[in-house]
Amino acid sequence: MRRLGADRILALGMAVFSLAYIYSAWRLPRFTMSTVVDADVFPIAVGLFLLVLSAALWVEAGSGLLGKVIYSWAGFDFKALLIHTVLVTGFILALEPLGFLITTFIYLTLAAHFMGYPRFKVILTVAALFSVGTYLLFNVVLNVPLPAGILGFLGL
Amino acid sequence: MAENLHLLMSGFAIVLQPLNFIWLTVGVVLGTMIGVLPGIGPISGVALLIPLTYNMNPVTALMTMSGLYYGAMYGGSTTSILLNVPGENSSVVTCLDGFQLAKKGRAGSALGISAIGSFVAGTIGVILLQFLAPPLGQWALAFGPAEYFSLMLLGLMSATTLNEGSASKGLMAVGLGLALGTIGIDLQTGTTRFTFGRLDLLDGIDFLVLALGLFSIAEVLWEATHREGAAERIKLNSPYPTWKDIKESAGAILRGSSLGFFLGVLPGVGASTASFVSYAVEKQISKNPDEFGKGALRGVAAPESANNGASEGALVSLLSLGLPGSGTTAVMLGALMMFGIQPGPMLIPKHPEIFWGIVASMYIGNVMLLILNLPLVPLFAKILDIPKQLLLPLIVVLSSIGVYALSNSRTDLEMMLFFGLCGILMRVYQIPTPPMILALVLGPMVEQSMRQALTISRGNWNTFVVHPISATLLVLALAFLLFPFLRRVAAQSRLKGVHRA
Repeated sequence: MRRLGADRILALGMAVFSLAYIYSAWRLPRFTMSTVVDADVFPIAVGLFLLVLSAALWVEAGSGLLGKVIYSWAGFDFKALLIHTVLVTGFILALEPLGFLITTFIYLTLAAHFMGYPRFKVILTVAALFSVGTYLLFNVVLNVPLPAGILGFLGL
Repeated sequence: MAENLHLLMSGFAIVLQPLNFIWLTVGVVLGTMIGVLPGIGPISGVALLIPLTYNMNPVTALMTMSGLYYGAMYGGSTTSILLNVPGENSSVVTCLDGFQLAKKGRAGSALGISAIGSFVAGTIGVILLQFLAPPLGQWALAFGPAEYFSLMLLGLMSATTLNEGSASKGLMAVGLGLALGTIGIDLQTGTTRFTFGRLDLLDGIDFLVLALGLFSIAEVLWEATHREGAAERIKLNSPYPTWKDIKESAGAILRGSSLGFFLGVLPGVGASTASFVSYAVEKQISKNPDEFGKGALRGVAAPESANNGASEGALVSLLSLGLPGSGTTAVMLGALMMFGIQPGPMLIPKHPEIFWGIVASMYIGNVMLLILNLPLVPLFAKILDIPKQLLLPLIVVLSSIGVYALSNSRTDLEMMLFFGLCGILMRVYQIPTPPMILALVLGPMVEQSMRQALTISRGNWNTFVVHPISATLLVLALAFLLFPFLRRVAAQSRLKGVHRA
């Protein structure tokens, strides 16, 4: 029963999204003088396609045709998801101001720790070798500059 | 013919330049490793490779990427056989008989046969690619925008509906990918679309941001939330099959290779579908179908040859028509465009060095992979000893480098994380992700050819049906669109019949 509900909610959500998308496409400025096909035509078509699919999914979910499918959040560790999402967010936000070396080192240490790897010395060694190695590989060998951040004065 | 031979030789000359040779080796070794590791597939593998290739010339970059792609097909079987955990989707079916063989002490035969099968399929595949792609491209030179529009539509439909699961969800993924593709400045009118006033969305959403988010980041977050105990692994003594094994599976290898290749050429049929189909065929024609699932060597030989054949077949439509048929080739198409190369039928005549370089690299790459995957298989199996808790965070960092190096933009990194979270939801609710990448890459091209065709016809939509090739392609696309629904209805009426009886 719960499964059937999930698919219908998905169908409804998609229908709302499609309508919003079609509406914002419809409100795009028109340039009828210069082009045969304006900027709104393709998005409106895509929106209608999605709308029809939402209806199809609604019908499909009610017909019992998806009978064997079971969605499972069972065994899903929401706390872990939250922790790792926060860690990746932190990595992204700190990358430019702190620089690649420090941010990567801290992120790798914390992430491996929260994933449950027990040996802290190994974590620190891997984090240090990987951040320095990748930084040098990209900055020196491949000429793809990564942010130096507060270590910029080292001139690496 | 002689000209092609000459071009192939110049391709070999390109591959054998020291730097190219080193990168090809890197590609196939990384491919095997990615194949061995469950979870990380060729889509994220190729996407993660892109930042390494920013300053390469396109030939080197593409031969490395394709090396990784078919290399992953070789490695995928290792964990299927030793752990009963598929390294790739395309090796799911290998588990059925591979693990049973390993339990009977024949892991070596299974691994050896899958390496040999992959090699045979890879070599047959590249020969066929070499002969099929140029004439196909030549034929497609006559295509106008209407034909292109219909061809891409066909690719999108078949990529989705041939897969298992809910067809409406697969098509939704296509729709969402197309919608994402409309974000940014419309190049024809200059209108900004769906940017919500954000300057960093003006250029649209890059395929790499979506690919790394939906595949790499989602995979890491998924694994972080599902801690599983280590699976039982079967010890491996010798990776060499016996002559009897080879004789037993020769037919299956040849059938799997050719079937895999031709399925791979069709837009949308990826390595996974090819491996399933060839397994089913092999079981059907076998004298002892009951053996399958209990340790039939041919049940390993056929799908492992087919997935290699299909990965090379997929390159035919990518290189000759510019039409990717799978998630991985969609990422490769994105990379081609990043190098400023216009994909399509002009690719082979305009950049022969790319096509022939890739072809030559595949001959050499397959030999390398056979060597890597026979004597060195125990070494690659050791990759499984790397603790996942250490490996997964590294993938986040590598993905971030890939996205950041692209544009130096934090917004792109944030979007990558957002798509990673979307990827988790899509996994739980079983919405397939590869069609979304395919649609994002193809979307702008679909729109452009639609508008060009309509501009030529002065707004007359009949243009798509009055051109015979375009009309045929549209009919095929419609057939693919309706196929899963008809299949369901047929199944339902059969079920009703059973109930009545």
